[in-house]
Amino acid sequence: MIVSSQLPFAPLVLDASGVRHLYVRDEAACPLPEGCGAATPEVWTVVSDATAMADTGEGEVLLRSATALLERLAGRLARERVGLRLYAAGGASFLARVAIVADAAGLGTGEVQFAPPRDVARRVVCVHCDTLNEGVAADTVRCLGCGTTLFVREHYSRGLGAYMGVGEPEILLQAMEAAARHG
Amino acid sequence: MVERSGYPAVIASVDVLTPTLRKFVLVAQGGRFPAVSAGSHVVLGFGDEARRYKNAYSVVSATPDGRELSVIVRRAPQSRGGSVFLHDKAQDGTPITVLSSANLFPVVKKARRHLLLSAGVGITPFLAHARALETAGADYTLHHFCRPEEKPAFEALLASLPPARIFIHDRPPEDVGMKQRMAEENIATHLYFCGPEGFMNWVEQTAAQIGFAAAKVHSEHFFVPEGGQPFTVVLAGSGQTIEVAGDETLLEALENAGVDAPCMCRGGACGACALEVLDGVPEHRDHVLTEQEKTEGRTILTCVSRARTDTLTLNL
Repeated sequence: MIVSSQLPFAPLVLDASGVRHLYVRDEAACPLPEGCGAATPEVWTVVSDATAMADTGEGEVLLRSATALLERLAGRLARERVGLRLYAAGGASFLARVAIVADAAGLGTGEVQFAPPRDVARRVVCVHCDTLNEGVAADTVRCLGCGTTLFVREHYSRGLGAYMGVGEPEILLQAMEAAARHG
Repeated sequence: MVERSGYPAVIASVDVLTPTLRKFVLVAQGGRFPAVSAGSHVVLGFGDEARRYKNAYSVVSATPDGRELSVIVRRAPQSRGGSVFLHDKAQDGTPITVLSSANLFPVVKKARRHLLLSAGVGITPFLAHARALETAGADYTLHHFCRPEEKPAFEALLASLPPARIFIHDRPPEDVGMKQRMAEENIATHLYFCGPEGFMNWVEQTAAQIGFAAAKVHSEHFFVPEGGQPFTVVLAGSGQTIEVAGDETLLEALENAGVDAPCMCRGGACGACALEVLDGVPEHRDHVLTEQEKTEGRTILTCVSRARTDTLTLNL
């Protein structure tokens, strides 16, 4: 059996066992969870618009950036009572960051749902220099930190919210070549 | 009958907490007990020539050297006699065997906060939990529910814990605003509960109403298997026929007949003793099988469940 280290992505369905529902998304194009109507979730949406005003309407919050949304989410979850269900939709990187905030607040299995990501761009952490490389769509990436060509492994760290990128750093190649030369 | 295996011990002291609650301290003879942790239970073997008992009890405390542990037992006259034996016959020096131990009710170490709810003798696992949480510096609150006349005994039992974390109520949970208190818990809180059936049902329903996620709800049904109508069990493998008396469990009848039947908790909580039913209708009394499995009637937990029919055929 292959154990997936990915976030448990699945289409969002309103969970009737919750008593309050919060839906966060990084784009207004993300659809509401299935089953909305029986209960209406509070919806927080990232809009790339500097004129966006928070708290414009009933249960509808607009935020100017994903970072602003995540900061607001961390503050909300720290005060939140038992019974909340959190739903997240958007890009892979956004979902990874929502998971970090939710885990830090002590939310557990059954309290958070993640929609399948809307893009294939992944965050990749360089295992050699710890640099986080954003928006990696290919299987390899040249690390922004150390310049090593990283192969993106199917190994996701929920704590870092990133996939492992592994390569052969220049310094290691040089050492191996030197060792080969000198026997 | 001598127990085939286990850790021999004697009762070192008997402490009368209330007319129906006694604390027994067990000291290992020539060795150490198996390792236990907060929430562990032990299966104890004891009795006399007339009758042997095997009952599971929560370990309320254990010394780090593994030579001493204690349990609290409520005298349950309607049960099959184990607790009555311990109350009436056990004294300092009475031999007793620790047959096995397991922890089916551990503290969730990564939880941010713990809310412990108990009623009556359901306090026993939480005596160990609270001490472990206290030692770890964890955030927890214990609410205990009991009859007014037993309140002083529980106050004495819990006296070593900080008063700010311990609440002892002599009224039912619904009368002291427990639902509201539960609803005010932070989203990170894990809920644990243990007590008699009515209390368990109340907490389970209330937790569901206020939206506790199932993964954060932990419970232990400590209930004592009760007797019922006698019936006959047929083992399909060996063709053996065994009579189950009204005051013994199916598991005990199998064991007394020398059948090596699986078991662990002996209280319908773990599912280790499940056997396949080939014929007859089981009377399910466990907390493991789903409603669907109970309706299908293909599986029986021998430690608590009995038969609705005169005969039950098992795939053993």
